Amino acid sequence: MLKYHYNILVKYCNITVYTMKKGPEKGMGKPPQAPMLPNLLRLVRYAKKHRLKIAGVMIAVIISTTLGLIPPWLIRYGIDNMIIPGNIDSLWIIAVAMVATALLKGFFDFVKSYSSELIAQSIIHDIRVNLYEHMNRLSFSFYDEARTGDLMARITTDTDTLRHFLGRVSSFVTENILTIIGILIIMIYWDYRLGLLYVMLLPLMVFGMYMYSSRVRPMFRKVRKRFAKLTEMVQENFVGIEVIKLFGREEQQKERFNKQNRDYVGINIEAAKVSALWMPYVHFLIGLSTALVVWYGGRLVIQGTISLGMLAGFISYIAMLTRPVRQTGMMINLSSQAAAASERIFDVMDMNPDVKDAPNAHELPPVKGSVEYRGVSFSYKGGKKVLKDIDIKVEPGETVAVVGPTGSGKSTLLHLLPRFYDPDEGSILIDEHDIKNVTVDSLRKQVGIVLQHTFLFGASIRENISYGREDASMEEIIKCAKIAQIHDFIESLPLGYETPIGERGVDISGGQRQRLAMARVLLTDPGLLILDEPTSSVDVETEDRMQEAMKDVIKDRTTFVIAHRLWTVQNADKILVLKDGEIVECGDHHELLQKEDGFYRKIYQHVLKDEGGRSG
Amino acid sequence: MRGGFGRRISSGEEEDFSLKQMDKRALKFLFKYLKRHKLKLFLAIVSMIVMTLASLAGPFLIKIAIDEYIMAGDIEGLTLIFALMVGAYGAYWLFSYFQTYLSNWIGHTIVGDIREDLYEHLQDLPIQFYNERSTGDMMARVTHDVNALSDLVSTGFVHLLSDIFVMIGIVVIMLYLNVQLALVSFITIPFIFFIVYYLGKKMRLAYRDVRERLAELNADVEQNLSGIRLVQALNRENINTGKFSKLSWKNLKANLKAAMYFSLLFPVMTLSKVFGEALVLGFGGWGVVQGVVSLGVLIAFMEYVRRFFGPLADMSQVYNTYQSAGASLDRIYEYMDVESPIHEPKEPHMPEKIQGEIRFDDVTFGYDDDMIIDGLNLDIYSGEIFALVGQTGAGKTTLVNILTRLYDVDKGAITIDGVDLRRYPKKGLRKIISVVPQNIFLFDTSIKENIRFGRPDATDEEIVDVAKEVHAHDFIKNLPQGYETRVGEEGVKLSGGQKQLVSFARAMLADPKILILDEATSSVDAYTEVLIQDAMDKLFQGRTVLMIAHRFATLNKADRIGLLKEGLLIDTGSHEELLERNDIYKELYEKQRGR
Repeated sequence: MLKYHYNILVKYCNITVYTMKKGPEKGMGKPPQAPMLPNLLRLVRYAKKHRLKIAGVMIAVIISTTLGLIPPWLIRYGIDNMIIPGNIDSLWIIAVAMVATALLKGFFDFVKSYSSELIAQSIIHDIRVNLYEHMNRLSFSFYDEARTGDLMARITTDTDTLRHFLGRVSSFVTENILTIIGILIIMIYWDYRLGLLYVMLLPLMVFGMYMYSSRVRPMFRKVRKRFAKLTEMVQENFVGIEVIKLFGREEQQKERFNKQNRDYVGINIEAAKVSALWMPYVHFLIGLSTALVVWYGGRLVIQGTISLGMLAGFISYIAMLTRPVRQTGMMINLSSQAAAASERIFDVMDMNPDVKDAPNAHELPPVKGSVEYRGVSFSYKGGKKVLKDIDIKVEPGETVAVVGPTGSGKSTLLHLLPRFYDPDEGSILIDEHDIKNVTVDSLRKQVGIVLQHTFLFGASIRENISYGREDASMEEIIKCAKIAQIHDFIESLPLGYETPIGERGVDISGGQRQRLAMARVLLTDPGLLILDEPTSSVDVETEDRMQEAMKDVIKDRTTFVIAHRLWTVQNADKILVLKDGEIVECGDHHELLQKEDGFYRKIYQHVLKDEGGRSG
Repeated sequence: MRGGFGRRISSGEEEDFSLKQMDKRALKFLFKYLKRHKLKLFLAIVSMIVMTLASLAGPFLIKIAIDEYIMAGDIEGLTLIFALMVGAYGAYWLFSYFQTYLSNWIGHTIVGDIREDLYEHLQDLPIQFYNERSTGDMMARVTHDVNALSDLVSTGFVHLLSDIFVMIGIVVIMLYLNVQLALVSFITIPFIFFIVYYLGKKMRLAYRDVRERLAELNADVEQNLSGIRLVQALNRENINTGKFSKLSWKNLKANLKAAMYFSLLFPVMTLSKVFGEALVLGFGGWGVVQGVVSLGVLIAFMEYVRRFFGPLADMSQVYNTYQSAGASLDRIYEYMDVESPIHEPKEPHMPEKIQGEIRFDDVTFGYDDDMIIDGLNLDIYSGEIFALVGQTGAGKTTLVNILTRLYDVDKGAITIDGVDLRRYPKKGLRKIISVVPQNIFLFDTSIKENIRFGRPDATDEEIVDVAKEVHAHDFIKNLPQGYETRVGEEGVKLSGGQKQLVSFARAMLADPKILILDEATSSVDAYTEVLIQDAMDKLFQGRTVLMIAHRFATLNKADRIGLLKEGLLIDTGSHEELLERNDIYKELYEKQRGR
């Protein structure tokens, strides 16, 4: 009866249920039958530095398995040589020997499981950190396609699966094989007929392992998948509850939820059916084997071919088989899961960042601020051209506004500058340095960008502002917060700069988020500043004050601004009008207004009409 | 026979929750569901009893085989024993199947019902409820807590009965076979019980630590990955990797600590089993020689002693299982117990034809204690385009929230066509009013499905038509998969302006009598906005429109403008009128103009 043992393992494997987030996406959810060896072999590389420890574990496994086989032998000896002849004076020695064996085995068991956990943990730590580091290097193009949940699962759930595999499979498999073979040897040694009987039982055991690994475990996997789907659905509905309510879609969402929920219940019951059928098989098998042993062995005892002690010993050995049968099936599954997990991990590890330092890249010296795009074309993976043959020349200190319809490529144009993406054709130069030839780090250090999707971390306001420069002093932080017009708001909070920002920054309005993001970038004091719709959610008055305060910031600094409000671009030194990935007009406000049929002029006149003649 | 000990040790999150403080109503709540399946529950228990008896028969039969037949040299009898044993284990298999299947069926069905009811209940709760709680916590209750309950019902309860039954069965049989030897074998029980209990407790604490470390690690990964663009833009890669490495190391240490107890547990269990066997062998052997114990009894005893420890270990952790399931039940019930302050009307009234006339009648409202709207009176006429202006925090969005009945007013009343909002059936109200909210949420599905959300039965043509009307069509058709393009989690693949256009299309598809635009085009580029402005005459035709804007540019379509300040409507009138007579309005306007 080793069910507790088994249950702990089940639990171990099921921990993954709770952390599993997103369902399979392309290339990652491959059936666990995926080629197992190549990926698992890669793990060996990580295991290499633990060679000694692994050898130690293996020795411990062998010793402990051998020790585990001793008690039935002692029982046999006790019955045959002491109890039956009535010579029990030294029977206590046998009893003590049994306990001593168990104690010794316990010691080696402890060494074995603790060390294998230690090894597995160390390997996984290395893999996890490597993966994390690697992910941080992967380019935007990778993240455009990837899902956060899926990537998270790889670094958390998948590494965990691998850990279970590493920590258990090798030692368990060895242990189980040794047990099965060890018993066989003892049986044959005791009496070849018993050995034959035992061999006949093996196919039944294999059948059990097979049923278990091919029927029962896959059901649990299906259950987990359904659960992940249900979770996803619940999450989306809770986050989007306002929209659901506003559109009165409660009924439909409830029906969708109920369907998922029913499916989940259904698959659970189905899984219960399968496991209800096959889980007790092991006990049945052991029972059947015992019955056979009693029936056949009993005969042999009566015939005097074997002793009663042997029979008792044999019954004890049979009871030991429960674990190998169940575990082997489980191990097969754990191995295929681990193979799938390692494939998913190594998939990412093998991904090369599109943007990386050129072999002989040099540091970008402090920028003066001239920027040049030479014949730059760009398309996202497999998509159509977003930018077509762009030529721009910007002098140091200029303020450049980029305008154009939604989807015309404004953000893309500026995302090329800090090398979030590399252009397909053409080159970009900062102070005459081709940005492909400078190190990415030194480039990004000097190009500050306020992204359109403001992201705040679950940390204090101060930590969020100083995210780009952890060593910034409080004075500097406050100074930047003041320029971004967020200082007063922060001060009005009970905890001031130490106020934590909640889950998804819910306590903070869109405009405030944007202003925090602005302060964050200002703090890094970049040589080049890119503002991608920095004030779309900021109210007009604040925007005004912000512009006033920004004057100093942008005065001697090359600055790019994407803005959809024309009045915010009027003061720019240069206005680029982008349409369908091409620069259709370029010039300052007055020049562009001169152009008959000009796109800028057309919009401007509309806006002029709408805004009641506000021309600044 | 599954789902026991290990699970008990590594779950049990609630150390500080005591079963005693359990709300009795929560139990009643659970029993209400349980009662529906009385017959199945009864059958499950009967199956469990038969199963246990069948499994306990084995060693007893061995004893008979040895004592009565082998010792007597009766080969025929052995065949009988063989048949009986196979029969017993066959019965074990059959009834084990019934027991497991039935109890799982009951558990999952009940839990499915509870989850369904819980979800429905939560969905009916007001927005306020959601704003006060983290999504993660709510999700956990609908998913994990309900699952924990399922474990309790399907495996926990029957499992506990089965454990008790097995133990009682073994004790009775052993006492029946030989009282003295049985008593000797029982010596170890309390000792083992406490060791396992102690280790279990230690392990639970250790696993709690593991879970916390894991949560930290997950949180860090999530933050890093969601903010990856920023991380790279700000050159934070190395710092973050360093921090992660530290967290990963902490996780490793926590896991090793748990592994230590975990690794101790098996040896202890093995040791106790062998200790039991050794006792039986020693004392039983002596008894055999004395002639008070038969050899069959000795061998059967060893079998029984081996079987005793699984249930014993389980029992040592029973309290914790019930404690954690109790905590889950309590959390679920806590939500079920929250009443929605926004009720469906008892006698709903839905006018045949809606004109779209809105009246705020002395409306007062505040979130919690903060008064936001204070005695507001306002009439918006049918077919009118009314704009609200005012500084941030003046209460503009709040007005939208109470008009859409996301919240109910504290005092006064809002009426549409003279009928109080609270008398409209909720679904009816949603048909009348459509909103383009300030915070846009899109579902992670195709653009087409997102627009269709406004009216589920809309055809694809209607969706394209409405997208054209709001000038979203141009950008949509340029996307790689056009209308089938998935927008990503919360619409990340679209720009702010694009999201607003989709949201606008979604609202227009519902063809509402009353349309509310809360900063509907703030992120749309000037060019597209001009196009939309031109289309507005058509879009607004036959509708009452309430616009909220902090830019005056969008107000030129408004018939009337209301100026909101600190929850008070201080003036209404046309742009020109307000400009002429209202200084605050003038000041607001000048500020924008004077840039």
